[in-house]
Amino acid sequence: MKKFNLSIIAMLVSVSAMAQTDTITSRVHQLKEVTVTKSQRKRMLTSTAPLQMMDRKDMLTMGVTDMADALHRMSGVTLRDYGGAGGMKTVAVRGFGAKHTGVSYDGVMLSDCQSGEIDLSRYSLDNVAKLSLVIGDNDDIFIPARQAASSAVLNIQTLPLPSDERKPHLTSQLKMGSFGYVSPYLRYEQSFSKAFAVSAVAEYIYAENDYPYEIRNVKTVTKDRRTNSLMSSGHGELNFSWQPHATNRLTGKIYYYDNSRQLPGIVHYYTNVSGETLHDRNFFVQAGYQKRWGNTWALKTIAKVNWYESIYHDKLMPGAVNDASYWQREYYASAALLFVPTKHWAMDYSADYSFNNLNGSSWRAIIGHPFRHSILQSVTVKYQTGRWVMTGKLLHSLFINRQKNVEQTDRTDVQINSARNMRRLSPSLSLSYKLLEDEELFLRASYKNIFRSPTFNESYYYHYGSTELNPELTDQWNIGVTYSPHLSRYTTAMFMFDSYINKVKDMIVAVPYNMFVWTCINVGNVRSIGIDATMQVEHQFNKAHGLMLSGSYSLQKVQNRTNPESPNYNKQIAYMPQHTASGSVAYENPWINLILHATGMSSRWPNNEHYPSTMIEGYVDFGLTAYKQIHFGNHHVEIRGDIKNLFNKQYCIVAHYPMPGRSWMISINYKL
Amino acid sequence: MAVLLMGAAMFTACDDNDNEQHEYIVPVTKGAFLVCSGNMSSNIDGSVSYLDYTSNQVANKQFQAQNGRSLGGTPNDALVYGSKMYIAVTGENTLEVVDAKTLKSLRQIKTNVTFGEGCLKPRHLTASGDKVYISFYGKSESSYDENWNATTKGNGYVVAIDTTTFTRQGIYEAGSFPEGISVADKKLYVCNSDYAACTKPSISIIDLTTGSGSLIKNDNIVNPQKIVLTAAGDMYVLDFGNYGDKKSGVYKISAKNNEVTRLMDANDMDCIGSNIFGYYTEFDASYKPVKTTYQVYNLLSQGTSTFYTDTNNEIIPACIGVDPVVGTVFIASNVKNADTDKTDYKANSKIFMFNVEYSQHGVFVSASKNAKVWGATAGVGPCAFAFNVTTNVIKY
Repeated sequence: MKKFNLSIIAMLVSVSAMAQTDTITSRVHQLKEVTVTKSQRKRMLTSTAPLQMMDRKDMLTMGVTDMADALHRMSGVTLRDYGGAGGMKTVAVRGFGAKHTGVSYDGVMLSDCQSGEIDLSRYSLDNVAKLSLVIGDNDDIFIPARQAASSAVLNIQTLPLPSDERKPHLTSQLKMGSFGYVSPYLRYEQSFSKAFAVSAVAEYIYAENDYPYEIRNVKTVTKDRRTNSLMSSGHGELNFSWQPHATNRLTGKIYYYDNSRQLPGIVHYYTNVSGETLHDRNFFVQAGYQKRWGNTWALKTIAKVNWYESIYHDKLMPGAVNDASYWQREYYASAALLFVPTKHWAMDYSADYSFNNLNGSSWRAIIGHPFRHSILQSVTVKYQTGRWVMTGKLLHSLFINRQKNVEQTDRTDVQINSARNMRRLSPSLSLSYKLLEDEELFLRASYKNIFRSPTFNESYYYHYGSTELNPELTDQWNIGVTYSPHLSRYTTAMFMFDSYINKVKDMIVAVPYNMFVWTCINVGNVRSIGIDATMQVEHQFNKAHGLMLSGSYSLQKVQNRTNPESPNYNKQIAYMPQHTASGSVAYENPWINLILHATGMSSRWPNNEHYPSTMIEGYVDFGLTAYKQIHFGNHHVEIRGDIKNLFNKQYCIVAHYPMPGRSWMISINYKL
Repeated sequence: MAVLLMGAAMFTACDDNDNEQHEYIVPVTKGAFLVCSGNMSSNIDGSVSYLDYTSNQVANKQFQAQNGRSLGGTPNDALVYGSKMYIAVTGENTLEVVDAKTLKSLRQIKTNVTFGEGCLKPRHLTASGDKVYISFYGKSESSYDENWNATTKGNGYVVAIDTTTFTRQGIYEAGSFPEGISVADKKLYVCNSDYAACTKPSISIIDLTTGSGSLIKNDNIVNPQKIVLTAAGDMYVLDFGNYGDKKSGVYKISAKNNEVTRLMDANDMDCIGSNIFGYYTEFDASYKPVKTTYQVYNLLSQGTSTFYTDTNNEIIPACIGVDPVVGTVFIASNVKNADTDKTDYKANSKIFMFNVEYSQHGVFVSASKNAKVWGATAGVGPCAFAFNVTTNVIKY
């Protein structure tokens, strides 16, 4: 445990010290080891909008096995998972599609201008220190403007750099699992001086993913294995931090990701021939500089250059007609200025500029070179007094869309126009009130209005794209209670309960003109009404034995509100479960720590029309985790074993994409 | 689609024998099958709907009802030949052979396993003599030169199988993305659609005796889908166009000089005797359907007559089928989605039926709505009709 706490302190002091406004009041500098967990909990309790955080310790004691599993444990989240280590995973929050969820990586938003969705299967947890999910805008106001441009943001924070001593640290880990899964991981970190520290990370995943599955076919059951599913993926990172003084700091990251995988595709009953492959490569460099002047002013600047390549090939498709390669580039700069004139008031002005472009290889896909200038500015005010915290934000977004290099052609079906420019003002408000003076009981309420602009596929893809599209508009209202009762010295607990109403207007939907030509239009409204509940309880029996319980539950009524005359009116939207739940029980003891955990969801429809007999059944997926940490001197060894899908439940999250059955995973981690 | 326009006017045959006893073998249609491709992404399997002529009722999901298993994803075409029905299931790489009367499975053939690994994505069917022919998109085959530049051959195939053993009798290389096929006069005709890419569409003519082939290419043939032949060897081709400036229509390719003439606008066609039936939906600039015209082109009169104009867009036609015996015309129609006001490809379809009157010479005279089968509910994603034709023996 000690190791984790140390690293989290380091992180809070060095990274978040500048990232959060309350650090301005230098409270963080007084943090002691014991208060670390509490502080994360406190952030969740006092957040003015729903905030869920999961650090390494949480992930361990909840038996979280991978990124997908971590997301399943968060309430309000609907993960779309195509199965296996190579299967795409995207995250939708509270009934909004995945394109509404922003993902940030070490404080900088990731982007995919082509699809608008971030595939989270790319990010493994081995290098992650903390995951957090903010729904709407909360009281963390010192953030880039782009962070406020989504209805929900998932923050991935990687392991921090050491700062207190000079010795090199090495972490090595080997993970092995069913279906040919092998993943070595290596991390080196060192502080060369009090100011300068470097870390390097390399990880590799090889997975055959040829897991067996069963799929029901009327009265029969088809049994087969996934084929054409091999994945070979690597990721390397170089980080540095230079902090000459407590008030300013420069950080940088060089990131490279390479994933060459076969795509097993949709499961058929009688054939499993597939020849699709996808090769993704992503390279980016990002740097951040933060400076603080006294306790009144702080500046945070970020710059990033991103390159992303995706090469799709289908060797079975005659003439290779579906083959397509795409290249995306992004240049991004952001500045945020924080002003804290009094202890009650804090203000932030953030301005972001980004340039995104895309080109493709296939005339059946993206023909020209579309690009977009995005200029986002936000002004945020936070007022804090006694038991009140209030924030208000106004975000101004400007998107300038153009495309160049459109081939001169006689074809009438080639998209030669540019997508509409867009300019919008998006407000948000949130507040938190401590109900009782001496109880950790908070009431919170928030509102956020935001939109998403059409992706480049939606605007420019051959036939499918339309340059006439308007943005998809969203409103979200949340009201919630958070509570952390004082139970005893040995028992702590936290409860969060939120209810919400969300609305989406002018949904971007692909509609057919005939069977072969589909085009995006703005049609459709969706309303979500739901409840998110989270609880964490810890009880320490004595010095050596402890029990930790965690659970989350979501109720989502995500309803089609397009046309009251339609038979589909008020029907649950495709792929949105009404009930989602997760839970874990951990028993910590001197011998071997054990965790039983489960995630599940109720049935879903794969279409908005609820076509009879297409329903996808609900499921509960149990897992068992055991781990042991051994320390001798400076050496720390952690051995962990997992049985995933303990009861071998056959289920699909996406129709005809069965998930793996029972499987195992072991990992050995050694830290020096 | 194997119907020869001028050659085989009617199916009747007579057989004399010595006992002064005469008998007529009369073909009779018991009903119409409608193959529905389903909707894979919505978890809707393909299916077969059956319209029983006696009851005028449509029964859906008949294949799975009889066999306890589903056709799977994306069946594309069906053919009733003799006592059997053949169903080409593109998404499953299977050819399902069933008893046409009972729909009980006789054989499921995994085409890429049984006919050769290139026999992927079966598309269309035709029959001649004791053989059934199936077209396949095939698979990509790349070859590399010394500089590792890839040349990717994208040829499809047509396989001939025996109608009793279902074994492969022949395999013929076709062009790019073959769709509809026809056999006449020991020649195999293949529509090479080129997947609407408009770079190498063609019609293959393959001599079934020698195996030699030739190609017809023409600027107007950009996305051929169906082909029928006359006794003289004239070709009547349905071409989907390029979904842009080249509209979908029926063309005649003259056997003499390969001259191509556009006959009528059509999104689909089927024929009986000397009549080619089709329909065409006009759209306005915002892709809103304006009207659908139901037409028939007659080879003898060389004229087109419109027998129904649907200005309310009651019917969103998906495919057409003409009963080869009595000549009634069926239209399978999609329905509109109430939310998007556009065609819903994941909803049950409807069947519309026209009773047709022909002259003594089998020339179209008039068509009228069959009220009993007007808007009957059928499966999702209708794509092809096949007719349950059996024979009655009349002795006298």
